[in-house]
Amino acid sequence: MSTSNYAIKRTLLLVPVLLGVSLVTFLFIRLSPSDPVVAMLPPEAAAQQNIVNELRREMRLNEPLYIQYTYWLWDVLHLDFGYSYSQSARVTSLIKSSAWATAQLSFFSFIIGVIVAVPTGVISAVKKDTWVDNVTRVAAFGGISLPGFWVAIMMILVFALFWQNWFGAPLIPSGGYATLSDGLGTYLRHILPPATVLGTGFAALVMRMTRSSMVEVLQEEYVRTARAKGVKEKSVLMIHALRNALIPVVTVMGMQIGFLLNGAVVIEQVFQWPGIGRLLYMSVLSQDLVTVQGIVLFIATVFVVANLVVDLLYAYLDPRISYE
Amino acid sequence: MAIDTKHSENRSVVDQVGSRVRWLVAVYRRLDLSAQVSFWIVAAISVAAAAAPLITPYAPGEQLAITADPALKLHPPTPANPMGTDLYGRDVFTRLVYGARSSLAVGLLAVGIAATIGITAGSIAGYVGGWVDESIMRVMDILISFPALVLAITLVGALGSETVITILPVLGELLASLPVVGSWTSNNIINVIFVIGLVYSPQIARVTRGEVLRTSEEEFVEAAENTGLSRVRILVQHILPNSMAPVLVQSTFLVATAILFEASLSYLGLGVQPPIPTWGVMISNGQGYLPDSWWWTTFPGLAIMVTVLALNLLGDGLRDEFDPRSATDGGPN
Amino acid sequence: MSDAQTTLSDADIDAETEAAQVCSDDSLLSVRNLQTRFQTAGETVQAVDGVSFDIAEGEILGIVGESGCGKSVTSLSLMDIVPEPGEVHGGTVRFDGEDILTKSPEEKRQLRGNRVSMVFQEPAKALNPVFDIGWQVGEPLRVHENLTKSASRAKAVELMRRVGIPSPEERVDDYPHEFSGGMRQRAMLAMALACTPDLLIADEPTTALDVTIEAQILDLIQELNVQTSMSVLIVTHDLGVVAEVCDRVAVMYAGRVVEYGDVEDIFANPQHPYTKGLIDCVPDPTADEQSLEAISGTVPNLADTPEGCNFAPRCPHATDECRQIDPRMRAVGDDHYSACLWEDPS
Repeated sequence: MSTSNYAIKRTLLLVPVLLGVSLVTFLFIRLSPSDPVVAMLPPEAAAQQNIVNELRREMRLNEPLYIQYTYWLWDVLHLDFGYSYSQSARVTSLIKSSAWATAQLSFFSFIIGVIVAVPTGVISAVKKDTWVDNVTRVAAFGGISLPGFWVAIMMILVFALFWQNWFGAPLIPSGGYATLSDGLGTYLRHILPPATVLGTGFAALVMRMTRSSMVEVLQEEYVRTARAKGVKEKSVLMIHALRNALIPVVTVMGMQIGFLLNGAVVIEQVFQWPGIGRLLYMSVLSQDLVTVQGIVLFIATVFVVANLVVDLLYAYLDPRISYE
Repeated sequence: MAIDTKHSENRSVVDQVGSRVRWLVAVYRRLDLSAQVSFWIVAAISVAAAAAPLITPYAPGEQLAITADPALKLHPPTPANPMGTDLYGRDVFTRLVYGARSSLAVGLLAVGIAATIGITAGSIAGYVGGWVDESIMRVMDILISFPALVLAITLVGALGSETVITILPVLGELLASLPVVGSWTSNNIINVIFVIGLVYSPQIARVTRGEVLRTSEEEFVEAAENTGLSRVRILVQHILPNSMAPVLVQSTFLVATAILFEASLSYLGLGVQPPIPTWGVMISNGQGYLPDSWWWTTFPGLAIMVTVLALNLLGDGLRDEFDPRSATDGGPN
Repeated sequence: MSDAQTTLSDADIDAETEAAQVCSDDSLLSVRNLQTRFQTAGETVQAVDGVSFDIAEGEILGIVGESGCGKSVTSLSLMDIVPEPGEVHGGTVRFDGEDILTKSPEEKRQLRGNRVSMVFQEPAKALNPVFDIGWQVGEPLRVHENLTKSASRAKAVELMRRVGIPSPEERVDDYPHEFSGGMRQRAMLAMALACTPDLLIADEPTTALDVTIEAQILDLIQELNVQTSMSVLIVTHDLGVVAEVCDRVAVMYAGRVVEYGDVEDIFANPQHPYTKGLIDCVPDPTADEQSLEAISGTVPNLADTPEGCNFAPRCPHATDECRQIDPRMRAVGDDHYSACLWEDPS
């Protein structure tokens, strides 16, 4: 099977999964014990039965479930996730603006994570079972074990609040959003703190994976061949070994996109970052189930597609894969 | 894998218990230093949680500012209140110790639920195979398609103020019969336990399925099939006990993850509700009183970190011991 | 015990004396008293225990022995690429007049794949799965001769043609998994030949291949040896390979060379009981009755070798002296050395 056939097959397999995801999303919300109509209306309107009935009809809540699902799916396929009464805006446009904020955050976390994790993982593998390896191992587990929201609070405590007391001005803002048009410095001071917190756990996982994968690869005979060829040790490690070691690491990175999205929900809240996680949280709090539904479906789709991309990348990185 | 169930019938109960203990001691001795230290940390936290009233003179809800000294509101650490007091004059250390109860209970019960669902689904999928396997694993694939916390927040949000018990009364009765937890049945903590358990069941299912598939190939299973034992008995008595080591290792990591998860949910106000003390809520409440009352947020965070780190390091040590093949799987998730 | 065995030889010597007898100064490669050990938590495995031999220019030397006798470790020691926790801790490896072992890591690296190159037992594992053949074959040229990527690729096609890979222009872009076993070993040879080395070390080059392919690869090695007057060291467990391609042979047992010299002489007139046993193990296709007389017993634990001769526990002729005195090789004929304590054990 050629790589492109593999890509097509793998993409087609996505369709049933996404259908399942949409069905589950739909059912979670529709089977919720709380009445979506009552929840979305202000209390005085919810008390008036005619308003409630009108809205129920409008939302087709009186139809059988499969009809409701079909209508909903049809709308979703047209990128129409409905209307958010709590935010007075179309869910699609809410998702659009907040997804961009989360994308920037995830991008920086990803970069920070990879920059820290891959070199440390390689060093840890080369210095296997020395004190360097042990320290990085415990540090990595520390990174996985830290509650991100608490680290975020501690970061604000030290670099914003204490810093202000000590030096008269905070090093980082205690939260909020900035764009590049606010100036690069302002932008980075806003985005780097949440990105660092998100990147820590991500880095820890990628680092562990890099290490164990690298340890395995370093015992391979082709590494010995490279040395026998007179390849410089740096190239033996960073080209011959790492290129192979990264194959499973990339898979883990794909799965950890979910980790980044999980973290985003909490970290965005701490730093008041107007991303998709915070939007989801706000919508859950205000029982805005239509919005919740749209966001969950969107996040799950991004997650599933990201895993597809990683799988295809895997096929590109490992020439053997497409023939299996 | 040292779990041996085949030759144990002939021995007395005392012998069996004795050999189990000796086996556990042997396992402990083979763990590396960090896992051994972690074992004692986990043990200490568990004992403290269980014996909370013996460890601290105060009750978790006791407002010292009212019962003792009005100055004890947001008071910094002193020998009597080693981690200070909070806005209501409650002793932070006391609430930390009682908070360990909710953390460990959520961790263990959620993993119990995940294991019940996961082992059942995974072993049926692996042992029966065919379309049953396909359908179970596709459902698991769909559940895994949602980032865990996103799914959990949605579920907790969808449940709203209802608890799972109104939907699943059997589960409620079961939980109500447990110590400590029994009094929590009307609290959202039940939803948290259930949701975390559900969200992480696919991971257990996947590991179980893989192990069952592997074990089914072993000769003793074939031998058992030839003796005419029923398939259910073969699965429960022969295959499952020999497939459990990686599942147990995975479960240790999941307890750590579940504790972290509960803290996040509670921090967001979607988890454990007052009056049950929990680390996540403490951090969330204390956050507004930074930087002056730093102790209110700092100590609960450290408690989460130490507990979760110890569980993860213990899990890592157990994995080296029981499941070295999976060392490249990347650890907890 | 036969009468002939009553004559004690002068084999009661140390490794340095052995090296002085066995080696000459004008060979291309002269290995003297080479020692390599593997140190782990509780024990030290002396994998190579004072090995000495020479390779002249244009010569093919075989190192033969059972698995675990230290022959592969010897070949890796020559290039100082013994895997951890192994280390070369004694002896000299004089190549073209200079000791490789005392050179700096950078100088060693510049020799590897350049003047001394190596092919391995399992080409499927020795080739890197994620790089194409052309990239790998051309790499020594980029490393040692600073060729550009495209120049090294063009040269790789040439090298691949030379080792008999059909339509190399197309196959240069293939990955190792798209090659057959024999073709992979040809590719390994092409890679080894890239910088026209003076010495090729082939560690069990045909063990993983089937018989017809084995013959082709051996023919190719011989052909390259004749064409370029490149010296070759072949490590093998197969006396048939030695008989077919080698000029001289070193028989290894338990980290030592026990018999060394001209191939024809040793095959015709083996002096060490172990060599005799090995030759007896080779099935003779012309004989009606096959006597597969295996050597009884197993190779000693290299972390704890017996006192006296390492082979004594398995030797049918062993005496009390054999269990006390640790013999080394001494001359038993013209270009023929043996490490048996007895002049003519039989």
